[in-house]
Parts: sequence; structure tokens; C-alpha cells
Amino acid sequence: MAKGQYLAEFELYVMSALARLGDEAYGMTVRREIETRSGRAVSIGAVYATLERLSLKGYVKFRVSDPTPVQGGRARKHVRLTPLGRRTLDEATDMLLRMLPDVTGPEGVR
Amino acid sequence: MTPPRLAAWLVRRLAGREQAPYVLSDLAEELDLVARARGRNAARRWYWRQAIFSAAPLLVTAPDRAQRLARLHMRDSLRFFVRAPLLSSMIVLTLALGIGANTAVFSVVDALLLRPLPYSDPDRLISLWEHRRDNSRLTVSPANLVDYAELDRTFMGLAGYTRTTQVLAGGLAPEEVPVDLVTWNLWSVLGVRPAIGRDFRREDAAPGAEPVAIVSDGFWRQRLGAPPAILGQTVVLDGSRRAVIGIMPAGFTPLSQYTTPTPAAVFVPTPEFSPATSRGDRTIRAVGKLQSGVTVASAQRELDQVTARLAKAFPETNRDVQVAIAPLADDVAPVVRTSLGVILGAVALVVLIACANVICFLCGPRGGSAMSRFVSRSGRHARTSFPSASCVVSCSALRAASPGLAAASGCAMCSSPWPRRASSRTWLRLA
Repeated sequence: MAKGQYLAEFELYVMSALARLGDEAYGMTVRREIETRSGRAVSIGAVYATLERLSLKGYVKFRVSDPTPVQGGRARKHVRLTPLGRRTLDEATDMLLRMLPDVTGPEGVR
Repeated sequence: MTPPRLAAWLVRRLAGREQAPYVLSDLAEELDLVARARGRNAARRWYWRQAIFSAAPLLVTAPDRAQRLARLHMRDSLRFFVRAPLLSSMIVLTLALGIGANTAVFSVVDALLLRPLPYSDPDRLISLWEHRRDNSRLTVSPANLVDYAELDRTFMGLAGYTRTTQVLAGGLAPEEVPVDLVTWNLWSVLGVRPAIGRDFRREDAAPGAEPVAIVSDGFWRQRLGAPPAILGQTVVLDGSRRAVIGIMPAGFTPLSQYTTPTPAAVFVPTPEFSPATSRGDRTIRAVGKLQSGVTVASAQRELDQVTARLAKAFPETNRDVQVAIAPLADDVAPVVRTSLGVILGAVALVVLIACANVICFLCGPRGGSAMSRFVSRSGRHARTSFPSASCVVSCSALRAASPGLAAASGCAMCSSPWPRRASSRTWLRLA
């Protein structure tokens, strides 16, 4: 991984959430996913700010959906990982696993 | 459920035009879920928390607005600087002085008064001293300290230290070095340990024991040249060879440093105190650690009983002597506490005066014309809702920020970490 491509902790959380959620990923679901899994309080502002940063790095792409088919239905800004983002996430998680104690590499995952 | 209006307005303002609809939409969708699960009031509170904790990240990363404003202010600042260089320099200098002085004094206050003492369980550490009926404060008699230390249900330990200088031989020329004479248990009372080597033991203070010393990290590096195999080597102090048994950690602040100008280079164990020695020799500063759950007041009551007993047993030396204790954190800087408070207040006033001066500069003949230009420009841009704020920011704060903060950082770097690195002469001057 080239210098400057490392992921900050929260960026890693957000990208992992995106990988899990797939097509269902947008601000609210990402926020809930991180909050539920990590147990830490997450603000929607932090999620959007991080997504914006990841978008500038080319790791995620946005897609605005049509409004939901109910009265006053809202449009959603869906987000997905780009191939570069997917690769960066894989490398970051591999690196993290190699650093964890008692784990020698991706093959040695407990 | 309808989102709280004010909170929604806050999010809309912070998120910027592009992002706001989606952020608000997501929040509204989740608000309904929270309201169904936890009730309307909880949902309202949840929404407010989201709005408040979203403020900082949204504000920082709203890219269009932040960059546009930054560019605008930077351009206006440069123009102002080119048109009125003298005025700009005066503003920069004024704010730099104000910010720098404030930062320097605050770093001292922070290190001396706000941060906890750099020892283990600082809340249980107490300072102990003797005083006469006229409240004149005395250092402690070693023999009395032995009696005080017998209150082992009150004190986990009582220790003493005193500062002296000794002549170090072995270099190009003999050199006086600051030495702390410490009781063998001082480090264990403070809850610190040498980074390399071992702590003092009771045997080191016994009569006829091999002379030993622990050196400071600074002394080891600068005076001894940081030899890796220092343990067991000897230093010659006042003609006595002492084996080095340990090196204190790099950031260690000896207690003596709170009261004396220079940091101790070497620590030497005092011979173990005996109740048989003269009680009139009051030579040491004392520090102790309370047992868990013991209060300062109850410890004081116990000590009063001991002093009453000692006054009867040794009337020549102890008749008018009382003992007092106080939390160590309150006692290490009693002299500077008031002075620092006054100085901090004074430098805060200096900043206020600096700001007033800047306003005067800006409202003066040269600054006024510049102000009017900025106000009219702000009106033309019509995006800044508070033109005078924009003007003040661009005219003063933005331009002053870099050199002002640089000066402030310089002052802060000189004075922090305090008091380890700062010159204690400065400290005494402040006092």
C-alpha cells in the first residue's frame, strides 16, 4: 500500500460497513451498522464527512436514488465501494490482521 | 415524527446546500425508527445529539463553503497586507504578543496547577511539615519523622528528601552537581521506579553499607555520556565512591524541583533515621502517602496526638512544635499559585487590550478605508451574512493567526513540559 493510501480507523469502519451493506449502504444504514457493531456512538455528520473524504480519494462512489414511493418520499444518496476502495480495504484489513497478536497472516485468522 | 426545527436548521446550515437534503433525509428516516422504538422524547433528544455531534465534522468538511471562504479571506488578507503593510504588521505584532504571552503563561499554569502530579496515586500524596505556634513553617526533624511514620494504619509510607550540592570528581575538573539526599523509601512512596537498574533498599541506608547512587537521565546522558553499562560503575561525590545502581526515567520530576532552581543530577540515600538523633535538627522535607480511605483530616488528628506525646517526652526540642499536612498537589506550588493566577489574569487582559488595539487600528483612518472596501465587497459577494465579521477575520485574525500562533507555539515550546525543561530561574522570576 503506497504512502498516503492508509486508512484511518474510522475510515476503515465506514468502508467495512459499506462492504457489508452492499446495495443497502447509505448514510443512515452505514451509521447504524457502525454503531451496532462497534458499540460506539456515531454521528451522521461524521459518516458523511468520512464518505466525502473517501470519495475524494476515489474509494467510494455516490448514487442518488429516486424518492421512495410514498407521500413525501425521500431521495437517498447511496454509496458503494469502487474497485480501488475494495482493494484498499482488503490491504488494510490484511495489514491489521498481520499486526494482531497470535495471527501470522490472512491464512492464520482465528 | 417531525424533527426538532432548530436542530434541523442547524444541520441544514452546517451540511451545506449539496449534502443537507440527504443528511436531513437520513436523520428523519432514523428519527421515525427511534421514535417507534424509544418514544418521542427520546427520539427528540437523539436528534439533538446527532445535530450537535455532527456540527464539527460537517463544518470542517463542507468542501465548497470552507474552501470558498478560505480563498476569499486569504485573497482579501493579501490585498490588505499589500495596501497597508505597516498597519498589518502592527496588528500581527499586537496579536502575536497577546497570544504568545497567554499561551506561555497558560502552559505554566497547566503544568504546575492543572495537571495531576506525575506520581502514582497523586490524590493520596501529602506534604508534611512542622511549625511553631506562630505558624512559622519548618522542615522536619528526622527523628520526629520516625515517630510519625509509626502511624502505619494512617500512612502507607513517610519519606524525606533534602537538596545539597556535592563535588563530582572524575572529569576534566571537579564540578559541583545538585544532589538530592533521599530516604530509601522515597521512590516507593511516590510510586516511581528507576527506568534502568533498581530502587534503593533499606540495606543501602544501613550503617556501613556500600555507598550507592541513582542518577537522573539527564546526568547519565550529558555528564556521563550515556554509557550502556553504567550500572555498577562508580561516581566520585565529595571524595566518596558511589556505585550507580539505577537511572531515573527521562520524564521524572523530582520533588525537589518544585522548590529549588536546578533539577537534581544524582540521588543518594540518607542513612536510616534514628529516634536517638537530635530532634532539634530540622533538615528534611517530608512527603507521605495516605493509606487507602484515610482522609487528610483524620491523618492530621492522628499526628496531633503524636506531637502532643513528643512535646511531653522531649520538651526542649518539641514543646512548641506542631505538625501539619496538606495534599501534596496543593502544597508544591503554594507560592506560585496566587502569583500565577494574577499573571494569567494579567495576560488575559493583555489579549483583550491587544484586541481593542486591533479594533482601533481597523477603525482608524487607514484601517477605516480598508474596512469600508471589505464591507462593500462582502455586500457584492452577498454570501457572507455578517460582513463585519468577515472583515475582521480577513483583516486581523487570519493574517495574525500564522505569526501569532507561531510566536505562541515558540513560547509554549520554550516553557513546556514544565517544570522539567523550563528554566527554574524563570519560574522563580514568575513567583
